[in-house]
Amino acid sequence: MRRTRLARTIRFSSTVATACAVAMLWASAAAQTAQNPPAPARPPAAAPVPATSPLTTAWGVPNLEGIWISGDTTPVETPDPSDQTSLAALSKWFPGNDFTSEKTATTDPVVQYPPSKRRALVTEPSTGRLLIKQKAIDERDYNLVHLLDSYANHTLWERCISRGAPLLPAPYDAAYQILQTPDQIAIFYELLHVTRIIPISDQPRVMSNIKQWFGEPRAHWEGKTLVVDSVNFRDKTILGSATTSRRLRGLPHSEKLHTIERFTRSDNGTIHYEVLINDPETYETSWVASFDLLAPPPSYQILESACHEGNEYMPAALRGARVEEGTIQSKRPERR
Amino acid sequence: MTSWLGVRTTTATMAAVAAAFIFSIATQGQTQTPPAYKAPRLPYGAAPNLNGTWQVANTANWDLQDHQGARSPILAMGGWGAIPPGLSVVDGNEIPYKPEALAKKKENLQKRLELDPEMKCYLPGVPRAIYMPYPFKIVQTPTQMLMSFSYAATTRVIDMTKVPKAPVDTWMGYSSGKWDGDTLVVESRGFNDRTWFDRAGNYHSAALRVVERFTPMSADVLNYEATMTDPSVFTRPWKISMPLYRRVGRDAELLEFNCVEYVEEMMYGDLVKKPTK
Repeated sequence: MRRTRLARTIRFSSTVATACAVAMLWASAAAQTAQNPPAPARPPAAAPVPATSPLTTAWGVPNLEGIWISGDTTPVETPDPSDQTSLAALSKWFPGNDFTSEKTATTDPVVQYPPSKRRALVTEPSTGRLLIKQKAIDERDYNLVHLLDSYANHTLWERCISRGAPLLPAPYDAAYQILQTPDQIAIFYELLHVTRIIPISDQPRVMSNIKQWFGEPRAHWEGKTLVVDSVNFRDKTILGSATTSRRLRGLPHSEKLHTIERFTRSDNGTIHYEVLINDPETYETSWVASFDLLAPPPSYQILESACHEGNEYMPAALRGARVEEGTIQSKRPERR
Repeated sequence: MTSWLGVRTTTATMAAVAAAFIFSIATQGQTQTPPAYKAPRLPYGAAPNLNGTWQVANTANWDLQDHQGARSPILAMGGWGAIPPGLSVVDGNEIPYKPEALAKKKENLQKRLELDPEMKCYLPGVPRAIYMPYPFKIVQTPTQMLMSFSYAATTRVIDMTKVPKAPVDTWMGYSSGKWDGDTLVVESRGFNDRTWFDRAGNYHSAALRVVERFTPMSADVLNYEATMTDPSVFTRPWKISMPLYRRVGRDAELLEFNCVEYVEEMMYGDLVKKPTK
C-alpha cells in the first residue's frame, strides 16, 4: 500500500503533478482532450489502526494529537439526477465522470473507510443538499468555461495556494498532523504543507482588516469537544477542491464565510469531525457536514507536497491555450 | 626555537597543535560550556519550552558573508530594494567552496534575479527558512515539534522519536531532533539541490546534511547554529550562528505570507489571454 503511494509520489514529483490538484486536469488542458489517468490498482483494504496517542492529555482534556486522514468516500451532497447537467462545465474537464453516482471514487485509500451507509456528508439541511446562490454557481462555472484564459480562473488548489480550512475529504494527501498544547492546537495539512495554529483562548480577534485563507480561528472546549470558530476569511476562498466535492468544487465564498468546526476524539483511531458553514453571500442557509478522521497505519509518512514548485501544469496549460489561439508561438520554454 | 608554550616545537607538534586548533573550531558549539541560563520547561514535559514566535534581526538572507550595502538589484525598487550591509554569520566568514563550486556560486550571484528560488516563492530550504526576514512559530509538545513559517506557508515537522527515512529528495529535508542539555539539536537530510542559502547565490547539492542547534540564552533569545556538510560542494563542514529573537504581544501573531499568489503574474502573466478589443 505504501509502495503504491510512494511510487505515485515519486512519479509526481519527478514529472508534472506535484501540483496534485491538477493531476487530472493537466493532460486535458495541454491537449484540450480531457482524459483521466489510469486508476491505480486498489490496494488491499486496511482497517483503521489505533493511533498511538493516549485518549487524554496530561492536562486532562481529550487528546487530538497524531496523524489523521480525511478520506470518507461518501459524496458531500446527496446525489441528484440534475447534477449531471448542472455540473456540465465541470464535466467538460472530466468526461465520463458520473456526478449522479452514490459513490465517489478515491485514488489513494491509505485508510479504507468502511462502506458508507450514508448518502451525503451533509447532515443539515436534512435533505443533504446545499442551497447555493446562483451568483456563486455562475462565478464557479465562468471560471471553468474560461479556465485556460488565466491562472486566476483556476481554483486555489490548482494554483497551489489553499484548499480551504475545513477538513473535507480529499482523494489523496489528505493527512493532517495535529499537535496540541494547553493553549493551542496546530493542524499541519499534508497537502500544500500549510499549518493552522489555533489559539485555545477567547482573546479578542485582531484581524478585522486582514483576511486570511485560513481565517482567524479561536477555539474552546465544550465538554469533550474542541470547537474551532473561524472568521476573517479571504474573499474567493474554496472549501471543496477535488472532483469528489462535486457542486462544492471550486465554489468561491465571500469574506462573510464563518466556520465552526467540532473535533471529538471518539476512540483510539477516530476523531469525529463536524463543520458548520455559514456564508450568506453564497448559501441560502448554513449547512453542516460530519464525518470521521481516521488514524492511518503507523507506517504512514507525510510527504512533502511541493505543489507550487512543481506546478508545470500552469504554464504548460496556459501556453497550450495561447498557442491554439495563435497568439503566441509554440515555443517550449526552458525548464527551471 | 622555543614556542609560546615553552617547549621546543618540532614539525610534528606544530602539526598537532594546528590539528587541535582546527578540531576545536570544527567542534565549536558541541564543546562550548552550556550557558548559565536555564530555560523554563514545558508545562507537561521535561524539555525546555521553545513555544513562541521567533525571528532573526539580521541581513543573512541577503548574504551570509560580510557584505557592503548596495543599490537594489532592481533599480526601480530604489530605497525599498537597496541592500542593507551586514556582518558575516559564517564562522571565519569563508564558505569553503571547492574551486568549481565557487565558480557556480559566482554565476548564481550574477543571475540571482532569475535563479534565486525565493524570487518564485519556492520553499526556502534549511537553514534558510530560519533566517528569512519573516517570523516563524515553534509549536512544541512533549513528543512533537513543528515549525510554521510565515513565508510561503512553509512547515517543518521535526521527529523527536526517530530518524525519519527520506523517501524522496525534498525542499525542506527530513528532520529528527534530540535534546543535548537545554539545546535542541536537529539533523536534516534528504534535500534536493534546488534551494539556496541566501540571495547571494550560496548553494548546495542534494548531498547536503545540516545539523542545527537551538540554545535558549534568555527568555526571549535563542542562539541558533547550523553546520553544513556537503562534500560535493564544500571542502569541509562550515557553520553559521546568529541569535533568534522572540516576538511578543501583537507582534507574536503569525500572519499568512503565502507569496505564491504574489508571484503568479510574474511567472505566468505573459501566458494570460489578452482581452480582445
